[in-house]
Amino acid sequence: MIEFKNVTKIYDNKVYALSNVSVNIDRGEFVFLVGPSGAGKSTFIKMLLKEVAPTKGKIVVAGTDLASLKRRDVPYHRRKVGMVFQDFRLIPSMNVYENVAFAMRVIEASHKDVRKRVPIVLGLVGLSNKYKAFPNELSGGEQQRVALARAIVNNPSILIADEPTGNLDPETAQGIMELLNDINRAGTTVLMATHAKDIVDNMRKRVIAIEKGQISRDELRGAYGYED
Amino acid sequence: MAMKINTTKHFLADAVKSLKRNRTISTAAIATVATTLFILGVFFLAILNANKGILQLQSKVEAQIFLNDNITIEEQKQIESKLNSIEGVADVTYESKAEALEKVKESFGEENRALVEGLEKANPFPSSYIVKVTKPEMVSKIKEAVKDMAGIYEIRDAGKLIDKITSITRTIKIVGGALFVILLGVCLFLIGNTIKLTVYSRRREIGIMKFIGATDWFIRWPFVFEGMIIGLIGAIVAIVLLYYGYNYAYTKLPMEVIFIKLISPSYVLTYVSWEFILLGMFIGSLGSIWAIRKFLAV
Repeated sequence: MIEFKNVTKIYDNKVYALSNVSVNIDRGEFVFLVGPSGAGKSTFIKMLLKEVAPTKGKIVVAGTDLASLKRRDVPYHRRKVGMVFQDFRLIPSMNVYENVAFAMRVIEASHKDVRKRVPIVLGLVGLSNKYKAFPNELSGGEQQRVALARAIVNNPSILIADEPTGNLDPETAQGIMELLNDINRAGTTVLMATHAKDIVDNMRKRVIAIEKGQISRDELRGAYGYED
Repeated sequence: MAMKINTTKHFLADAVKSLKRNRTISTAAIATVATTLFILGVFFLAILNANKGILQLQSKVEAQIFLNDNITIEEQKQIESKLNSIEGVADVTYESKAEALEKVKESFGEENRALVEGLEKANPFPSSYIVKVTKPEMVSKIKEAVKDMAGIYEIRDAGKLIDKITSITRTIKIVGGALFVILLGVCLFLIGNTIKLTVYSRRREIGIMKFIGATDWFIRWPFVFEGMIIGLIGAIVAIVLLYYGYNYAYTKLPMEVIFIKLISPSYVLTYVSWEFILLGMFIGSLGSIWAIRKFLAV
């Protein structure tokens, strides 16, 4: 599902963000991406969406070789990858329903499909009774659920979560992790960058650690492996 | 670029909303478009009228050869046969002193009849040959052929007038063109900045659209619509101003003074209006695309 082959990224300031990284993530896997800040996790994620292109090496995501992806086809590639962020990134002027429906509007889904699909997804994330609430009326956990609903509403084959629990208390974070696990079990490949030791240690999933631009560890049932 | 009707409706609603939100600068942008198009229209009508005038003059080019009152029959016969022998002469008509006076009387009209009353006794108007030619450039050839012959008082033609109008038209074109280019720049700048305000207030939304997988055109359309609406309203204002302004000039300018038949004011509505609307909307969308290009790079 995700394949990095000898990928190197050097930014303009001659900093090696990634050097000679090779990794394979299969369909249906749940993978934690860990490592100190500035180790290359963000670059890794940005490359999956072709926000950043590698200096050297080959990246294949959901069957697409990103090097041969034309600029005008990038949006279509991004539709296959759902994204969730630490800061939720909801549109404040839209209510819960509209925020999720918006993702379908963007890919020009029909009215009928939107009306059918959005309630199902909002039900999945447990927000069936909050359609009309605006983001500022919701708790952090609820906002992240809306973001999750938006990320999966178009049935992406990969879900990338960039520190999705970073702004949440442990209990709320647990709820989000259960949702991610459900999404993963339904067949979506999940890649989650995180600094949450408890979560990684509890879930016992594959852990890929990036340090100084290189993969320092890749364990199938791994632990967080850092002290904080 | 293809869009569904639903999507289009959303886009239009978005565009109208943000125009209302940034009312002041939107109004400024609309006013600039209106001014630019209005000035363009003034120059355009001036050029069109001048060209029409030239055509009218050219279509009736003729030379009029005025004769001395004391011309001899012999001299007159020589002139007439000379004129008839020149190639390119279509028609030679003799106009007597009495006929010339009659013409003047007619052009003065009923109310000014008193001015020419009694001139029959000492008719000041000379007799003449009116020479019609097949091509305008023949006029100078005729002048060359007869100018040294005896009995001629004066030769008049429209050539100088045509030259003058042509040179005025050229000046109008240059000045108008330069002014239009400058104003077009101001237009694009102001529309661009209006749109930038909206783009800036929605930059987060644009970022979200990008990672959700929105195409560049999906993101661009609402802003392009906003620019188009600015251009459209500006064009309508310009058309209204130009129509009433030109209509006023058309009815106030006496036909005899400007000697040509002006283009009818309805031309502004039937023809200029469409050009302005298209041009206004084109300028509007161009300004928008320019304003948003930076925000689309990712």
